[in-house]
Amino acid sequence: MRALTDTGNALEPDLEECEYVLWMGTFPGSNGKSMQSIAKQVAERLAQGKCKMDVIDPVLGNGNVTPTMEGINWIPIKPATNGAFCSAVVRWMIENDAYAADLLAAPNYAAGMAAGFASFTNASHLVIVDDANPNNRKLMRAADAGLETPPADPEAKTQPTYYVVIDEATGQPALHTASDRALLDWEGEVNGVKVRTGFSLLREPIFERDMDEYAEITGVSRGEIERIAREFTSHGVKSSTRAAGSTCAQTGFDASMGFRTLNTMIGCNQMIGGNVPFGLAPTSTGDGPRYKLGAVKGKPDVSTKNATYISRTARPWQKTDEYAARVAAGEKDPQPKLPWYPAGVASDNQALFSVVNQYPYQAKIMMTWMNNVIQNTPNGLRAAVTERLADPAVVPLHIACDVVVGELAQYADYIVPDTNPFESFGVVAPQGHWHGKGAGVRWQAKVPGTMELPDGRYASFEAFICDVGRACGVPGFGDDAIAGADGSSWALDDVADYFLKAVANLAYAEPVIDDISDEEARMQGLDDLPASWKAAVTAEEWPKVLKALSRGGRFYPVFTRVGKDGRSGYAKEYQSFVYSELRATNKNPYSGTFACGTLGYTPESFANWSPMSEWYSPEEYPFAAANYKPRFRTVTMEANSPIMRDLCAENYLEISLEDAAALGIRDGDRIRATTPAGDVMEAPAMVRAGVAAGTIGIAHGYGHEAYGAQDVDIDGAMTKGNPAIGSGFNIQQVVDPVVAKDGVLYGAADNDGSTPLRNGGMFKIEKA
Amino acid sequence: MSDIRLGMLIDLSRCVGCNACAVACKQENGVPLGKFNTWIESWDVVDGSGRVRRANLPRLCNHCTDAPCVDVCPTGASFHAEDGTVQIDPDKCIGCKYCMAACPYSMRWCDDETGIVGKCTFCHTRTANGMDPACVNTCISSARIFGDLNDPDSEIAKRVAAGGDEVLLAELNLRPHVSYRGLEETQAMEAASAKHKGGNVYEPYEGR
Repeated sequence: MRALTDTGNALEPDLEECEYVLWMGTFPGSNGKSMQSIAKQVAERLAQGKCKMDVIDPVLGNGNVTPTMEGINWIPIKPATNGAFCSAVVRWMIENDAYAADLLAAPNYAAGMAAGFASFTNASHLVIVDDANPNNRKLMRAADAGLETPPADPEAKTQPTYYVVIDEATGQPALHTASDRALLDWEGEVNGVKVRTGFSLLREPIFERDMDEYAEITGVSRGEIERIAREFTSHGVKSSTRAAGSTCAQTGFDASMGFRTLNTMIGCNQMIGGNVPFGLAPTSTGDGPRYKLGAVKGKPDVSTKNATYISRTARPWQKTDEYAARVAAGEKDPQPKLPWYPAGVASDNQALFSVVNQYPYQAKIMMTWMNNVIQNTPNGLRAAVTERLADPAVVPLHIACDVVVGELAQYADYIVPDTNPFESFGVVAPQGHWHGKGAGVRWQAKVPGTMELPDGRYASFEAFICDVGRACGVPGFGDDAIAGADGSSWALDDVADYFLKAVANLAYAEPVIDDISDEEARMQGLDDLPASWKAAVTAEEWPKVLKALSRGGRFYPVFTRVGKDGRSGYAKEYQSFVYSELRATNKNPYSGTFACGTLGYTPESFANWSPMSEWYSPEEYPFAAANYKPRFRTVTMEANSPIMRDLCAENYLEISLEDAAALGIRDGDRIRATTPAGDVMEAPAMVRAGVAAGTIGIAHGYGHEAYGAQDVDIDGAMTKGNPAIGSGFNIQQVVDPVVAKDGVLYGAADNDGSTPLRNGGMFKIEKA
Repeated sequence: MSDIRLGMLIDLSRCVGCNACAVACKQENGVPLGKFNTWIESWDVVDGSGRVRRANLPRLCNHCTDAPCVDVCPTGASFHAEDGTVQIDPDKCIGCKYCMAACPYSMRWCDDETGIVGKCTFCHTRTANGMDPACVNTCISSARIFGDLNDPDSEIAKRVAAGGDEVLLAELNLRPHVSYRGLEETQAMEAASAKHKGGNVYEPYEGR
C-alpha cells in the first residue's frame, strides 16, 4: 500500500513529545506494535498532561480510554468510513486556512527543508488532465512540458524523474527540482497540455460533500469533526495521526491516504513531536560489514520485472503476458479471472485465492511456513476453498512447516515440525514507538522441543531448507553458501550459521562494539553455548557476538533520534503523495474506469467499483463489521493456551444499545449475523455502549476448526482434539459477486491494496 | 510484627485491562485453571459528558488488617504474616471453606484436587526476597504500585497520601492494604455493558 502514498522512512506518531495524536482504527493500549509500550507511553504522556488524544474506532477497545484518564476520548465511527472522516477534516482545514501552505508549496525536499520542515509533497506538481493525452492522469514529466533536464549522471544506477510545477516567482513552468516555491492551487495549460496541481485535484472529491454529509456517512457529528480538526491543527508539527486496522477494509486506500494526507497537510512528517521515523536498524541480514548475507552467488535473475507473484500483486493487469496474448488474439478489453493489484505487495490472502483458482498459474509445489492464511481470511467460501486445497489435481504437493497443525497445515501432504519463538533466532528492527536506532536479537532460549536429527541438529524450517537447498544445488545453500566480507566462504546447514553471522554484522556496524568480558560471559551462561554456534563466526567475532546476545541486541543512544531545528535525527528525503499517480492510472479491467488519485470517499464497492449497496439492500443488511484484534488471542494463534482460554472462552457479536433495543435483543441472547451470500455467524450478543451504531464488533482469533480443536490421525495414531480450542466464531464476510462466479472462488478486497475485506461489509442481525 | 506493612495501590486511570497481571500471576503461582488470584473486571461506562469509556478494575486479595478470613479460620491456617499480609499455611488448611464464605471480596478459591484454599499472597516468595509481586512487575502501564506503606519515603506511601486511598467496600472498615486511585469516580459512572472478568461475562448487562 505504501507505494501508493509516499516514499522514504516509515513513520509513526512520536509518543515522547507529541501534543496531540489522532488514532484511527488502531486503539492505544489495546493493539498496535507493540501494544504494551504504546499503552505505557500514552498513559505517561497523558498523565503528565502534556498531550491530548482522540481515538476514532467503531469499537471501544480495552485501552487507554479509561474513566479517569484525562485528555483522551473515544469517538465511535461507522466501519469503512475513515476516508469520509479524513475528507471532512481536510475540508475544514482548507476552509479555515489551517494547513501548512509553505510545506505544500515546496516542490522538493530542499525547499521543504528551507521552509522549516523535513519532507515535501507533490501537492504543487502538475497532473495531466486531458483524456486525449496518452499520459492522461499521470504527473507531468519534463518531456510533456518541453522542458530541458540536467544531463544524466553516468555513474548513477537510476536517473531522477523530473516533474513539472509552476514556479511562484516567475509564474512559469519549471522542473520540480528547480523551483523553491510553486503555485499550489493552479490549473491551466503547459506546452498545450491541460494540467492541474495535485492540490487542486484534491479539492475536488473533498468538496463534493459538505460537513453534514460527512457526519451522516461516518456517524461522527459535525461538531465532533470540527473539534478534532481544530485540535489537530492547533499544535504546529507536534500533532499527528495514525491508522491501521481501518485499512483492512474495501475502502482501505481512502483510510490509508486519509491519515497520510492529514499528516502531510500539517507538515509533521519527520518532525519531533509529529510523525517520526521508526524501525531503523543497521544492516544485519543484508550485505553487512562482516558477511554478505544479502548477496547470493549464482542467484537466478528473478524479480517483479520478469516474474509474476502468484498473488497477482506488483503488476497491473494490462502489463501481464495474458493480457498481451488475449489482445493479440483479437479480444477487446479482456477481463482477468481474478483482479490484479499493481500497488500490492506479496499477499498470502490473494495467493490463497490464486492457488485454489489455479490462476495466474498453478502452484504445483506449495510450501507454507508459519502460515495459516485460511484462518485469517474472512470465512465466506471456506468449505469450497479447502476442498480444492485438498485436491491433488489442484495442489499436487503441499509441504507445511509449523508448530501446530492449523487450518491450512492440515491439508498439507507433509508437515515439517518447526521451532517456536523461544527456540529460534531472529534479528528485528525496533518497534513499539521506540524511535532510536538498533536491532533486537532473538536466540534460542531453550533446546528445541522438535525431533533431534541424527547429526545433532533439531528439526526446524531452517534445517529443512538448508538440507533441501543443498540436495537440490540451490544457490545460497551448501558448502560455499555465504561470503564473508574478507572473501572467505562459509557453509549454511542450520539456523545459527545464518543468524549469528547477522549478529556479527550488527556487532561490527560502526562503531564496532566491545568484546564481552569472560566474567560476564560466565555470569550469563554464555560460556556454555553449542560449539556449532561458535563455529558459525570467526574467533575474533565471537566475543562481540556474545556481547550483542548478552544485551538482547544492539541499540544506539536514544538521543540520536533528535536532530536539528525540530527535525528527526533520522530524517532523510521523504515525499508524501497528495496525488497518487499509481492509483490514478490503475485502469479497472472490469469497468474500464479509473479511481481518484487523491484522498476522497468511495462507498464500499466490489471489484468493478460498483457499490455494494447496488447489489444488496442496505435496508435488509444494515450492519457492518469491525473485526478487531483480540486481547486473549492473536490473529490465528493462542487458542491453544489454556490460560488464554481461561481468561476468555469465546467471542461475542457486539452491538450498540440502540440497535439492540430496536431489534429486541438483550445482552447474552444468542443472535445470528448473516451476509447476503447466506454465511452465518451465531454467538451470544454483547450489548454495549462501546460500539458504534450499525456496527457489529467481533474479536478476531476465535472459531478454530483445527489448531488442536480437531482429532488428528497420523498413520493410524489418533490424537484427540480439544473442542475448547475451537470455541467462538471466525468472521464471515461478503463475497465479491463480480469475480466469484462461474466456479471462481474469491472473497472481497481493497481494489488497490489487495487486503481482504475484514472491516465493513453488509449483514443482517436477528435472534437465533 | 515488624514495622513493614506491604500494600498495593492501583491507579485506575492507567489500567488498560490487558490482563497481563492475571497471566503473570497464574504462571508465577501455578494457580489452577478456572481459579484466579487476581483478575480484571472490565465494563463500558458513560462519563459525565456523555462519552463512553472502558473501565478496568483489577481485583485481588485486599490483605485486610481486620481480616474476616483470619478471624473465622478454625486451624490458624489463615494468618497475618510479619509484613502485614494475609497468608495461608496449606499444611494447616482443612478445606472447611469458612474463609471463602467470610471474605467479602470473594477473593479466595479452593483447589478442586487438593481441597486446599488459595489466594493472592502478594507473591510472598518474591516479596520476601525484595522483589515486586509478579503482577506489579509485568504491568504494562505501571498501574500497579507496590511497597511498604509504613515507609513515608516509599512511592506507594506518597501516592496513597496524595489521593490513592480509596478502597473497595470501605463501609466494612476492614482496613485493606489494597487501595485505588479513581475508584469512586469510576464506580459513580453509569455502567453500559456487561461486566467481564477477563473476557468472560461476570455480570450480564440488564439495560438502562
